[in-house]
Amino acid sequence: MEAKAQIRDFIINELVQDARHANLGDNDPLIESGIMDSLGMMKLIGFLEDNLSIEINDDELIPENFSSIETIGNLVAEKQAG
Amino acid sequence: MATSADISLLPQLLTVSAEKFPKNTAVRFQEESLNYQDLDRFSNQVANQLLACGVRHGDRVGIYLNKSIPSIISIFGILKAGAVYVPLDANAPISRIAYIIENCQINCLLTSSTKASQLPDISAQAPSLKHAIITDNSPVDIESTALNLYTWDAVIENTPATLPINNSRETDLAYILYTSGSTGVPKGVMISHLNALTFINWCFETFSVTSQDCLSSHAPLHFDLSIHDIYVAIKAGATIALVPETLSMFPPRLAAWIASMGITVWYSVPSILSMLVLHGRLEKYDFSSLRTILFAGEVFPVKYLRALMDAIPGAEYYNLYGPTETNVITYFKTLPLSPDRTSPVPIGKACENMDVFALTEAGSLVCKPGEEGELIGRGPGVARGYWGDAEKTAENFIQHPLQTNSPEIVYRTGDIVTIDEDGNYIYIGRKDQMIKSRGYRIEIGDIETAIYSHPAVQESAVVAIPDDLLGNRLKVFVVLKENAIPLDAAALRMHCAEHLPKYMIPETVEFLPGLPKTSTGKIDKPALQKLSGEAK
Repeated sequence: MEAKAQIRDFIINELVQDARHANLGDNDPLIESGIMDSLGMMKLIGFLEDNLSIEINDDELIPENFSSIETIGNLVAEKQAG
Repeated sequence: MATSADISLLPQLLTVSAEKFPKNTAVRFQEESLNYQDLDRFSNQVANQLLACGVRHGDRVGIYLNKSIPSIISIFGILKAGAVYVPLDANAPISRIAYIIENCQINCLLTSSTKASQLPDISAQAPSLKHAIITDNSPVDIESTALNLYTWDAVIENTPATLPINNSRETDLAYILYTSGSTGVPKGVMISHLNALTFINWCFETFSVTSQDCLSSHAPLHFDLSIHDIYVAIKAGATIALVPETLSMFPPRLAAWIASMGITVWYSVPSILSMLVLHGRLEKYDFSSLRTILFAGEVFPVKYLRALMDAIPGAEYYNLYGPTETNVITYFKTLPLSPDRTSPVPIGKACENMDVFALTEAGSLVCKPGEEGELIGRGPGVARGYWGDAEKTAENFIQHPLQTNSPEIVYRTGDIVTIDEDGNYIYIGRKDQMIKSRGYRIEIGDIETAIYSHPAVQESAVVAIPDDLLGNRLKVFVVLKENAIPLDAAALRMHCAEHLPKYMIPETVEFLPGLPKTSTGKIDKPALQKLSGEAK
């Protein structure tokens, strides 16, 4: 499965807790919508590092990288390529 | 006009400081700020609007707002009307919000245009709610609501800016904070002006706060840590800097914010500070303004505390301890920690205007190392009890057990402690099923009640898995009914989200064919705890 699909599965299965967000799209906001909180963020980073073989640097912990499934997918793709 | 010497009510903190420091910045949030003069005037107008809505002395008024400048105006507006504010967790499910509104019969609440779409659902479940003041000017589009809505423009343009007169007394309630209850519904801790001022005055003296200070406000309003940030700052004529909620997710941004805002006093749960020291790149920023770091709500893992003290050596560090029912009652000033120390810092000794003692199971005082007992708090900070729950109040707010000839109500914390050679109390654990996660109090029974309410669930048990960073993570074991509709972990968590705030939703769900039982037929929690350990 491609990385973005894995990220989408993880977010929908582990972080979404409100039925209103069950059909979350790749560009829907994760932060303003309250889907992501500080605990969710840590779980997500753990998932990315354990399952997608990348390491997130502290400098990359910025809202721009985690605002949607799309931006997280782009960050992961960049890191896997680099 | 009250002077600082005779303040006996919370709103007087503001009226006195507004007189002394009218142009000082009272609140900062993102790009906005509000000075003392304006905070005083706007809150007078909110008070007058509430009175016009029919709010009377002692009535409960809800605050259903994310942390923002209007939320601070609302607090003082409600208090100036002689009413009692009830902060509602802005991220909690509607059913829980509606329960609280009905439980304490809230007739009027202050909210925002972004929350307004939830009002019809809330008022359908909470018929006591009749009025809502929208604290911003964005348009609100709600169909067929049974509520009377008031816009911010109407409040600011049409209501008098004079301070209304009311007959509040220091023993009257100022606010009610709802915390997790063991039977599945939240319980409201009733705090009077005197209770709150006991804590505020102690902080003001102990941490020598002045009008030059800038205090962070990280905790949400329904969490008692917020009492320090708001009122100690206002008493001093200092600035409250509201921490934007999303910053906690991004430790490097939070570190940059603390440095650039010139925060002088920081107060939060330890898990936020652990995240900062682990991921915040603290070496990149100048924290020379930060003189005092306060933490409370859970045990601070000593390795992270030591790393923080190394990273920001110029600050003083205090471990504060106390349940919502007493606010902070003990404190410990942390001195440099030796590299080989692994035991957490003590919770310390009683605050100067409160008292604590601990009783062993046999009823004698804990007075030397090795003895253990339940910590009991006494003094003017002890809350008035739980709203509308005489039974639970009587269980925990008891007659002083060693002072049988004169009446005095003390609070049993449920926390088991011991004492060190210097007389500092050391936290050991709980005597009941309450746990802490990210500083939040969580009653396991509250979660289990929500899970049992799912029709497919036969049996369930929640266990807490200790975690360095968070205090605890939650795991639930579930046995499904035979022939029940299929249920997966995600669906069960969504069911929980309809009843529980986010921090109470179990992170992991494990389905079992049956739960282990003890010889008396009870669910064997230690066995499940062991199972969770092995699974990790």
